[in-house]
Amino acid sequence: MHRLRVATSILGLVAVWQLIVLLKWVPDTYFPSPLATLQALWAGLLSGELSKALAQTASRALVGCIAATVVGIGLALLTARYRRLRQAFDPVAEFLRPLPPAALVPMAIFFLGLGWKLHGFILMFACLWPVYLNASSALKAVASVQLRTADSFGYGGWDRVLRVQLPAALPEIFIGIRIAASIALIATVVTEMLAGRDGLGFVLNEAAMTLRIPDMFAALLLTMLSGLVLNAVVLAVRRRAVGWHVGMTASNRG
Amino acid sequence: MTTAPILTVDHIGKALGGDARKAPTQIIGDLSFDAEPGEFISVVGPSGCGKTTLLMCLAGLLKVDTGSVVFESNALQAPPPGIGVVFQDYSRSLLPWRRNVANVVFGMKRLQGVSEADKQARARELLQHVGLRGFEDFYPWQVSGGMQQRVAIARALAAQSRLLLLDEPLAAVDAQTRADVQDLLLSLAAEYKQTCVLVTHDVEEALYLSNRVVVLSQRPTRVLRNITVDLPNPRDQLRTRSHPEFLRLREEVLTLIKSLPKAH
Amino acid sequence: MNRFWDKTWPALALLAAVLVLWEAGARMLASPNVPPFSVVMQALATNSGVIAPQILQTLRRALIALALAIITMVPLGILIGRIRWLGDLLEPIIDLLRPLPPPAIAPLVMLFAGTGDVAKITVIFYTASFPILINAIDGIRGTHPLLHTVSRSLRLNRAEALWNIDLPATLPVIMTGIRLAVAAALLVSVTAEMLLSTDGIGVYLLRSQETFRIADGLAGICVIAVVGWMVNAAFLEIDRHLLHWHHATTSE
Repeated sequence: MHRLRVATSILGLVAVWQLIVLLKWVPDTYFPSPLATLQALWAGLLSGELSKALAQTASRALVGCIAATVVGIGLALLTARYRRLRQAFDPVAEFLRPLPPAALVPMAIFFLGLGWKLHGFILMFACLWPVYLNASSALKAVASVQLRTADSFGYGGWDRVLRVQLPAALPEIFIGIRIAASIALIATVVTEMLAGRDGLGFVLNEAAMTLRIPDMFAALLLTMLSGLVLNAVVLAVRRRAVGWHVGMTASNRG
Repeated sequence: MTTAPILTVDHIGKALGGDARKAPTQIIGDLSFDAEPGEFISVVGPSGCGKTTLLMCLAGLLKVDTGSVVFESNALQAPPPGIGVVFQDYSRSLLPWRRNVANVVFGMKRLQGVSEADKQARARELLQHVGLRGFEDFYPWQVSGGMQQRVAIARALAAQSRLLLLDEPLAAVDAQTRADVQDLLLSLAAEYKQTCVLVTHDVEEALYLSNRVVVLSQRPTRVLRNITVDLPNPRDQLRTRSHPEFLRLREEVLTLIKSLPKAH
Repeated sequence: MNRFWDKTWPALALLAAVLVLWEAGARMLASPNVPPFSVVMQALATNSGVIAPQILQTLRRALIALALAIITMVPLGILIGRIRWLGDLLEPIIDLLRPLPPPAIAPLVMLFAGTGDVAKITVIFYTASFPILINAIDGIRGTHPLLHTVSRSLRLNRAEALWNIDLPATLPVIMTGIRLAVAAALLVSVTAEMLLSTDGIGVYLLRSQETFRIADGLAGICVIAVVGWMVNAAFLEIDRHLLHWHHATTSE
């Protein structure tokens, strides 16, 4: 039933799209029909231009997201263990978080060039804060009953952090990871658009500049698709890692 | 009695809260009592008299400001091996990402030289002992409140503690379950010769379970009276509760608590 | 005061350590690519006349787009949340569009709206819309069923119930969405300027790069960080004032 509704509304969207083209509400040089877009997509995938760009963008976003997750959680565990470290680090993170990753690109090019180092730095900067700040506040918010339980059974120091606080905080940490995943894609595409030589962002920009509009739409479609896939990957990992939480919330509701 | 007490609470005082603007509130003021090995002691008092704070101090989870808590002739600084705690908020004190068996194994951290497999086996045994056969591999949130409390009790026993502290363990379960778990506690205490200190607001529960009831005053809390409960063992929900001595003690304690001026 | 100091000194110490390391490291390297902190601050002082109007442009556009997003998306979210068939129709489309990175639509917007204010505001508006819309939908659906009963027993009509009960009850969730939108709008307004360059702090950064004025560029980044932090802090303060009843009931 749910799938049917989703299919209906997506078909409806395509129909409206087609209608706009048919009625020539906008010049069709700027707004290709769904079919023309699909053709461009197919051709681009076959020729390798789009498929290569897709692979580059998706792998960058994925690797960046994983790296930021590992570093972010690691940092949060350290600051959860050592209170002074958290007091030092949290305000700095709060301060750096609103800084747009794109704003760093022009200056970062000087230090890091145009290659993978640039992508890595921008991605890490963009994705680290949501993971770290979510993890840090989740680790801090673990119920005091659970902490006392740990204390009373002799779990102190790292034992308490890793065996009680981390599992308890993990469901909330995944909220940060999901945000980081969507930011990873945004940061990848922006970096590719501003300083790229390849990837979907670069194709998007170039197709627009050279007025290959169906190609641009095809790249846009693929970007959207990578976003959906990336989100699905995070959700799948979450189901494996914190299945207990999914079950618990479901049983509380039912 | 001739045996040395397992726990000595010696003139302790504890204040909580307070910051730059507000002075801390004195919760416990000059409180003393002892627990002999094998005793089942209940601590009762008017609501808001700092029972839970007292229990946290006994467990070493809170440091006392004055006086000392001596457990097996060592003054408490931190939660020591040998004291198990069953918390009031049992549904959250059980770790929801661990199945019931794993929750009981969690309590065995301080057991020396026991293999992981042995811990598993012992945990299953304990769960069956508290009446949870067939629920060993459920998650705590998949079983009822009464069962969760049994898991928490099994976990506390798993630590092989010589002193079991119980913080209103039955405040949030229905009457039937409460009676069942009370009888379970009695039989476990008898079987393991377990020294227990139970904190409760339920005077009847206190009398039903204990050899001795410690009645507390309102804040700042001290001991009003030590009452020895001389009721025939084994206890029975019907006969014990209608025993003339039970009724007399109940009236004595309730009158004592009622005579206190209300806090706020 | 003492407690405040006790909580704050580690952050100040870290900040001081970073700045000292930066200054000392840059002076030791003595490379034109790595200006020391003091040089960046000098650049900030000399360029403040250039930077200030640019950052105001950026903020102006972010604010307009944000206001538009709030005015349109809160009512739309309430409609989608309240009217079932509308939700069935539009929600899959929202879910589909949500993962599309906002900057990716910049080239598309450029085709229709050029590179002026309208184009940039469109991109920011698109970005800011999602968190507000989604929170408005979730919020209105999440209102406690008891409130529904209350409004029925008070014999309120639909509009009265919406205004007097549903909207205030949903406000905390909507405010969370707006807070996310504020942060996103700031991020994307700079990004949009860099992609659709005419003016604003983003363009200032690009120009600094093209002319190899690294210290000037770093000064611009410092300004963005401070302004972003101030805007977020200011909004948190507004949120606290507007929702004091909510925070009073939910804080432990």
